[in-house]
Amino acid sequence: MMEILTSRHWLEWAITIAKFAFAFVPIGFILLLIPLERRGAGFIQDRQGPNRSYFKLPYFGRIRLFGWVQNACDGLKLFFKEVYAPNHVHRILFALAPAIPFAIVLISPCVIPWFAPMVFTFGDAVIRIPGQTVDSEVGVLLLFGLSSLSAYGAVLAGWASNSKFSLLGGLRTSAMTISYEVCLGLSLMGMLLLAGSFRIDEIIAWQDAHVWGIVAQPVAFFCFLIAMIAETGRAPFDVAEGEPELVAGFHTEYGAMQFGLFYMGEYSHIGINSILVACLFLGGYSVPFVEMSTIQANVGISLGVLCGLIVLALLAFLHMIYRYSRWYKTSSASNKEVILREYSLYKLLAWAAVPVVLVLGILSALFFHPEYTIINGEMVYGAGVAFGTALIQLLTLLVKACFFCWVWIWVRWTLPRFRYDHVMHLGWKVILNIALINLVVTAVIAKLVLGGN
Amino acid sequence: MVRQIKQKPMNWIERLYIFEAFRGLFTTMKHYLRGFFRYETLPTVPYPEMKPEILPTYRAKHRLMLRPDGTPRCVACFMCAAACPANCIYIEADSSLDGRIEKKPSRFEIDHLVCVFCGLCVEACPVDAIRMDTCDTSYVHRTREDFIANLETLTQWNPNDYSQNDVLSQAAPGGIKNQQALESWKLRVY
Amino acid sequence: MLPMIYFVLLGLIAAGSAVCVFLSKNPLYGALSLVVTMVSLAGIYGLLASPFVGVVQVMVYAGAIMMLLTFVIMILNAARDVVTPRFDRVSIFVLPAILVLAGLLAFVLISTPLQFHAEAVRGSVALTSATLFDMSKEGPGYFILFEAIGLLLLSAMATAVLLAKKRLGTPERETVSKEVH
Repeated sequence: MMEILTSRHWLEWAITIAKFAFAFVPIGFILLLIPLERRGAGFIQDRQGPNRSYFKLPYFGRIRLFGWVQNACDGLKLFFKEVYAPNHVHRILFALAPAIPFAIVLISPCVIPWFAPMVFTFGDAVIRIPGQTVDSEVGVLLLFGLSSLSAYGAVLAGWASNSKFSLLGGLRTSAMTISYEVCLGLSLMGMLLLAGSFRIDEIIAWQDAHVWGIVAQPVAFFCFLIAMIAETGRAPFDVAEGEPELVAGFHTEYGAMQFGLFYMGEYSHIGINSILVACLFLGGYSVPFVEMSTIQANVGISLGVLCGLIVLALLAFLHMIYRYSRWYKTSSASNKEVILREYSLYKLLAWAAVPVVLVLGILSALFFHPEYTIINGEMVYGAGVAFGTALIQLLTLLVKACFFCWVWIWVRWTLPRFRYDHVMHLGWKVILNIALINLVVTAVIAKLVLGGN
Repeated sequence: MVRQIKQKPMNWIERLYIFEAFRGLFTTMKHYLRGFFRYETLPTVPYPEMKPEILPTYRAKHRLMLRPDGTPRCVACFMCAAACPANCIYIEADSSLDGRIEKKPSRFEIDHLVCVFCGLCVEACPVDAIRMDTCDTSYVHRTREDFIANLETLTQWNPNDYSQNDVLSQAAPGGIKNQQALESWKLRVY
Repeated sequence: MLPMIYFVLLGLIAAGSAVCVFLSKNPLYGALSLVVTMVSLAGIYGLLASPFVGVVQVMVYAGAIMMLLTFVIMILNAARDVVTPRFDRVSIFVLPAILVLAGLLAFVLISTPLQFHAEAVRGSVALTSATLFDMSKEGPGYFILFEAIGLLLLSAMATAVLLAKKRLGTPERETVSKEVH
């Protein structure tokens, strides 16, 4: 055992263990997705969305956080409700089913690279850290394998509930998962063929060297996106829980946190899939138009630019808050004192953050000059540069993923639900064929133009 | 006669669905951006704090008009109760102490849980005693009995909430034409 | 040492759930136990330094085929109506076969030392593809087999579709004629 421990530097071990925290990133996406979904749906339908719940702070009064508190309240409510199972269910499977999608969600992000492989000197040692938690060569295949297992949750829930609506929902889920898994894999194949690897970090490296996947494989991108939306079982493909036909589909009989697990599993699945699409087709962690070596060489300035962007975002936020305040002052709202008091907190926080971030950015731009040593003809920087670069890349990836999260919600609140046979028709007769043709065309072009073996 | 509405057949671009889907996505995006960046221009209002503007012609909660001395104008003729399709108006008549007027209501009750707000009572009233122009649309009570508006709640309204040109409202106690109306009315009824 | 512990754990899970497949009366529970067997087998493939085979095992067997099987069980509702007997006449032939296989496996396991070399790459993606699609004359020639199996599967699928269409077509006409009467 000791030789395993001593085979690596202690810092390498620490970072390797710390990377397990990335398993919770998709769950963190829930915190973003649910407010985005509810308020976004509101805005799309010209409503305001849920924004009523609040907590109280001593001076500032009722803090609503733009409706975010409402979701926390709903989550708490689900958490503290009694876990209840009807009499007619199969106890074991009924209790087991909601755990499956959620467990898969915790394992899935292990193959996603959050930053480019770090190589840096620490003291005398040279430390290499891969970007993903599990540095496996099967990469994206492992993710697909796991996500194909997550449908068992819905299927078992449908069967164990012992109710016909649930059973039909489970049936539909299993049929749809099988159909769209095929499309998913096939539409991705073109991209894998170009990159010549299953590893996501190598696919990203290929995109970095050539063009983004969305440019190289636009057809595959759309097929992949549609298949992904279908696989998560979201609208317009949510026939598995279509309310007009199946009450709530496979989770009809569930309540409290068991339902909550399904719900959270679905949203985290969206988070993972958004990250995956961002990785495969939008260049993942690579910053557009800037090479990684440039960032490493000018890491101080890069961090300064990052701080500048944060300041800009904060100023835009402040502008919005001031506009709302002005509007509230002139409006006839009876609670405008309360809201203005609440906004004063946001103003205070943002105005406090702006100079801090600004000074940090200027300091890093002026005084953070990396030193490098040359090892095997490559420039290797210190730990600070590596972590700074990793931070920038992680943020880039998350921003891209957030955009796709929005795409999921946007599509859901725009397109009406497909009929079940339409879904099957689209999957087997349209997308599968397009993906196949795309694969063949890509293979031919790759052979002729790029001249593979 | 059956009127057939012919739908325009879809052309092939529309049948492909994907372009139309993008058009829909564009539309929803416009709405979303409006909500996100121009929050204050949303057509909805945060209801209890900000109330939508309701025109006086809207058929809202009833009120009983008052004479200049403060007694209800109602003469207990039962026309409104007869006209009411929902049978939600209950009136008990009493003899009036004023010699010029035969009857007055001793009970006048409208059950707002039954009322359909058709406005026929207003149309039927011969003396313009009942009106539905309070612009009050919220009915929030704790018990069913509280939803029954009686003589007291129906006559509790403030002339200042109504237009200056509304002569009948302004002639009521508290209105700007009350003094003038009292003088022409001459007699006080007790 | 560590791979050994993992192997014993995964092997126990695989063998245990395989026994569960045998013992469970409810077809759905049997199918689920089979899924667990598949997944733990995939773990063992991973231990043998061939993650590609392991992932394909999860994707194809656990993800697709077993899903199809549960689908069929649910659609036929066999789980509720039919209780499969644990032993019947076929078991007379199956049991000795299982015993013989188990004996063989035990013999092999005892006669060879149990060792894992994590460095030994047996089935990486590159190795698998190079072996499968080795077009050179002195190569193993698996690619012909690969193509042949592909063709076979395609013809099997076409036949299945044809048969299913025939089966689906006939009762439809009958119901139509009944409605007319």
